[in-house]
Amino acid sequence: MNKTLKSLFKRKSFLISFAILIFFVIISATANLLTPYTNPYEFSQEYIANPYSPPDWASIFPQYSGLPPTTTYQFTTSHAVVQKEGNVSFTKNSTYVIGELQGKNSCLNVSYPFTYNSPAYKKAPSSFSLNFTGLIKTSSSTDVQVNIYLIHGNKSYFLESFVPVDYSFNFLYPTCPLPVNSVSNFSIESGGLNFVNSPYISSLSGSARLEGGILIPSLIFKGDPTSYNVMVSVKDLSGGPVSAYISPPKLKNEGYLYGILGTDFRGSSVFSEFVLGARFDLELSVATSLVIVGIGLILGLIAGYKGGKTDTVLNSVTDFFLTIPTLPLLIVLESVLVATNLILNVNKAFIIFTLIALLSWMATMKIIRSATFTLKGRTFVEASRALGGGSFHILFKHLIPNLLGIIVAQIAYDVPTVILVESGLDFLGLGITSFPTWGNMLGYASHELTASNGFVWWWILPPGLGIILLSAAFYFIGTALRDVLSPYKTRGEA
Amino acid sequence: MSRSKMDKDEQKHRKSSLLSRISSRLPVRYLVKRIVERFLLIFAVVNFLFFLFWIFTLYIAHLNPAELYIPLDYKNANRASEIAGLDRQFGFDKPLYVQYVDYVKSMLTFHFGYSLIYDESITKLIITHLPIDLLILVPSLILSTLLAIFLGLFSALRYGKLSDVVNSNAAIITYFIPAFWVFTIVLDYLGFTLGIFPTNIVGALTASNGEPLKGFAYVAGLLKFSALPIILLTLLSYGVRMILTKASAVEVMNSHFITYLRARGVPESRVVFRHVMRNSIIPALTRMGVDFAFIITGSVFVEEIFNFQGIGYLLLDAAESLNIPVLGATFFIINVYIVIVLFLLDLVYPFIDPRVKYD
Amino acid sequence: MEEEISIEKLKTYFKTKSDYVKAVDDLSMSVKKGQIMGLAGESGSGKSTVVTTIFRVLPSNAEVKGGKITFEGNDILSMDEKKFKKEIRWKKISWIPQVSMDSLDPLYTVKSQMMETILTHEDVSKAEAAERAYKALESVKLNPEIAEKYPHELSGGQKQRVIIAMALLLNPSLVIADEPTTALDVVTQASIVELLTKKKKEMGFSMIFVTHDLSLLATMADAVTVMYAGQLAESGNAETIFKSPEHPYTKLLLKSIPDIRKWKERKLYSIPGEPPNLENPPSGCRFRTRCPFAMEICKDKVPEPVTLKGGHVVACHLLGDKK
Ligand SMILES: Nc1ncnc2c1ncn2[C@@H]1O[C@H](COP(=O)(O)OP(=O)(O)OP(=O)(O)O)[C@@H](O)[C@H]1O
Ligand code: SF4
Ligand SMILES: [Mg+2]
Repeated sequence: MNKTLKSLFKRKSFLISFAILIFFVIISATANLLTPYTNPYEFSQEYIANPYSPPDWASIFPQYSGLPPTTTYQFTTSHAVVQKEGNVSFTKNSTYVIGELQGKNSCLNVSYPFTYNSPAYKKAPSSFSLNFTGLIKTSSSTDVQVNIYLIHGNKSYFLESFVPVDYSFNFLYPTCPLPVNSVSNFSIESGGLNFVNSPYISSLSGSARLEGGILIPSLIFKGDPTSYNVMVSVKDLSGGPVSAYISPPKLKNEGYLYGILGTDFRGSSVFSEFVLGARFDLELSVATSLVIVGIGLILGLIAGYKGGKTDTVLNSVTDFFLTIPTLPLLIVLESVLVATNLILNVNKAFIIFTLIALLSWMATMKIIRSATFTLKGRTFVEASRALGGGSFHILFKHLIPNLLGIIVAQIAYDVPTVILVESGLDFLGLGITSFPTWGNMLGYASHELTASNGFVWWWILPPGLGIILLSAAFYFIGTALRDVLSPYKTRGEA
Repeated sequence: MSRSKMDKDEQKHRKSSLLSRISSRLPVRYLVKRIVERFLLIFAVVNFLFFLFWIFTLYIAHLNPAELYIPLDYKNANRASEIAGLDRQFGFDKPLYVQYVDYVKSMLTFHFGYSLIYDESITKLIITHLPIDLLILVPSLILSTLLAIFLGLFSALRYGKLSDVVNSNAAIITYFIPAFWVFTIVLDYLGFTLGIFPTNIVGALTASNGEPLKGFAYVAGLLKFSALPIILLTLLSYGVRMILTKASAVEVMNSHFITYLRARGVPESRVVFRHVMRNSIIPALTRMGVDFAFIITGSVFVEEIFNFQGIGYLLLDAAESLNIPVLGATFFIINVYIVIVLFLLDLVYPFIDPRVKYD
Repeated sequence: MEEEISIEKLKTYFKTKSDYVKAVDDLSMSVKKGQIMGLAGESGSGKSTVVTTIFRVLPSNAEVKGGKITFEGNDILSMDEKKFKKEIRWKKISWIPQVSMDSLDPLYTVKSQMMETILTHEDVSKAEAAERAYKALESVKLNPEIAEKYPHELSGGQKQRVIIAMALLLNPSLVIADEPTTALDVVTQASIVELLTKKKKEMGFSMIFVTHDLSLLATMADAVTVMYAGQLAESGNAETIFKSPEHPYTKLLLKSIPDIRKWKERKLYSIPGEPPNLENPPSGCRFRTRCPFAMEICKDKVPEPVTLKGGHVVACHLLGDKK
């Protein structure tokens, strides 16, 4: 065994392939750690950044330099800078800044400073979002206001104002309803801001007032200085006692660059698609080739070992399947199943797996059959039979060990075939569409490519290169294993 | 004896020897046996297709294509009677064994009848969908074989050197490049971005004034359209044949008869091109023959990317609309073609390689 | 008597991953005009390497590290490739390889391969070349119909006759036959040997007959050279070698020949031990690992070939005092 390993690792092609395989196995195994997303094609996992964002590191290229990255600021209560006006007391714990307001016009301002290098970027972020949870406890007759500001240098932008519905008529600027006495989520999306809900946009004039939601990132995140603040301000307007629990906000600037591999047309992370796709492709292709080789091995062994009529029948069946154009048949069957809704999406991977396995075992069968024929004629098998070795004994003691090289190589050779066929189906839209695979990444990406959205290389190149690398790795590993494990040297190429 | 008479005698002699050579290579008994076998194979294919597209869809999955064919909101007449009419027309209402006999008969006599959707004979449908596919696939098959032979010999002559390693590994890698991926990228760049190649066949065959091209311009347009797919397919499909050629060329070059040829002073170019080459292209040619049989295999992808409707489209479209007669007939024709090509390959083989003999 | 070809201190090595295989190391031998020189030695002793060196068709990993091969006054090894090809190859020296070697291209007929050989060297019409091919086949007692056949359609004996015809096509003055009968059955073997000797008488060429079977040489060879592990062990005229061999290796070889007359008394003798690994041969005399007479000096010094009377050359330390 040691010797086998040694001679394996002596081969450069095996070493490189092995390293590639290990790389993909590791990223598939740790996919859940590498990416927070479980299915980037799901609606809730889209739009994590601007669609078609190139990766962060692409800014080293001139055409992407100066683009703002996608940045997320997750503040904690320890970042909070608290100012008070009037009769106010406050405490902080790890989840909330808690203020007690008593008295008319008393006010609690909680601000979170952050820096954003706006002068360095050619563009403002495409959008931003701000989220926090809050609980405002009041008596029903108390008028209270929660105001949210973004402050750039000394200029502040009054984004939204939350007011209990009963009091909303008191204000000249737009307000939003404030639920009191219950924990609620405060969520501001820059794209959702308009002159009806945002005091700042309502204060603008002309077309800016109408397009506020689209413009607002570029109005705020531009120029010097680099110091910014998010400020949540709670104001007691009628003087009744108010307790305010304000969690630290999460601010996300959706830039034009994202992560390791950018985003696709949905604004989903290409990296997480790639990693999840790698996992799927590896699992499916290895499982399928195991089954393919299993079928081929069983039929080939039976035909080769039994010979005679059994062999004639099995061999004719194999020849029959060999004259069938399997790829078109696979595509057509898959397409019939999809078009007639005979299968649900969930089962698609299983259907593909079954169809490929049922239509691809013939080559293995032929190889195993002829190898079994040759082995059967070898003296040690004949001797074993003469000594009264049973069929099973001969099978497992003599045939299988000697076929090991071929079997392992065949498994390795089938993996690329399965990957390519499955990717082809996905590319055509007949395969898996509901979660990422390398094939459907290519499919979507090339569709967007021809839809003239520019060359989204960070999206279209990784899955293709992944397929090539993984396939070639399996091929070279298979060749190396065949050469090393075959007790009777088979001629190898390359 | 006059000179011309001698020549004639010689010719006669040659002709008869050719005939006798053919019959010695291909004994009649063998031919008959093979033809019977092939016929049984085709019969098996018919049964397989009947099961797959007829029994399975109609009786196991309980799908009625006629139902699909007539829209649910079909208003003009009584939908049920319309469906029954279609059922009658296609024989879905007869007892199963009658359907089977009809099916087998229609296949074996190549009377496929009419498409469920297009009001056209299926044979005609298939024929009209073939030309562009073949225009792309056949030249690329030939070109890639030539390229494979050239590069395979090149590598074998430099066996073990860096240029061989690079060349061989490149060939292996091309085998694993997803064709649809490269096609899309290259077409996007050369077609859409640079505008060097037409991106769809309608555009390629239409003049700038919107008139369809005619005559020479039509041929030129067709060539221009097919050039890119031919080149790309050639570059992505030569790999296997190249490795086969190289492996056998290396083996041939190490065989003793090559040393013996050199010892006899036969010029090196002749050794390489007449002896090494002819011996080592046999695997590549065999492979080309098999690939020629399965030539339409990848057509779906080529059509999808280069935007034209060929046999792959016909199949996909028929599958999506459950056009059972078209599916069955197309597969049948493809299969008959495959069986015939493989059979011809068997017949040609002994003439390419005299060592092969049937008995 | 004039010398047909003489080899002096020839060294042909094969490069391997780690080292050199010293397949032929300091070998000298010469063939007299009109004689048959038998070249004998165990399998792997470098006989074929000598032949391929003469023809300059060594595999790419081979290197000629030294020595001279003189033919008609010129050194073949340093001769311009073009000149060698034009003047000597096949015209003057031809080669009959072993039958088991597939020496003919399986895809061309016998005729086409013979014609190709003629046309390569002579400026004759195709018809004439074909005619000569037929004649050559007839002269080796083959039916000219064989000309239209492919190599795989011939039996081993027929194939070997074709090869002999091929070798004699251009009337060479030296024919090198490398184990031309190995792998043939005894009867065919005898007929091939007979054919060769007959042809030699008719055409008057000299011949090097390579074999690992000394007994074969007894009847046909005029002189014999015995090689061991790439080096000369002993050479001399046939009578001397068979009647009074001096080298222990030759003696043992002769002992291992089955003698039909004494069939009953003697068991077949074979030399104990294995031929040495030529990548790392034993120091001193390469035969010392198997030699029953090995002495201290055999380990330290390579025995120089010593010429005894009648051109009998022996490379063995036992001969040191007889000089
Ligand atoms: N291409 C090569 N590379 C490395 N070693 C070689 C090569 N060809 C021959 N040898 C080695 O050179 C030695 C001599 O080989 P050669 O074929 O000359 O022997 P031989 O005497 O003709 O044997 P045989 O009787 O079996 O034909 C052997 O040890 C052989 O292994
Ligand atoms: S030199 Fe020594 S070892 Fe070699 S043959 Fe003579 S006696 Fe034997
Ligand atoms: Mg030899």
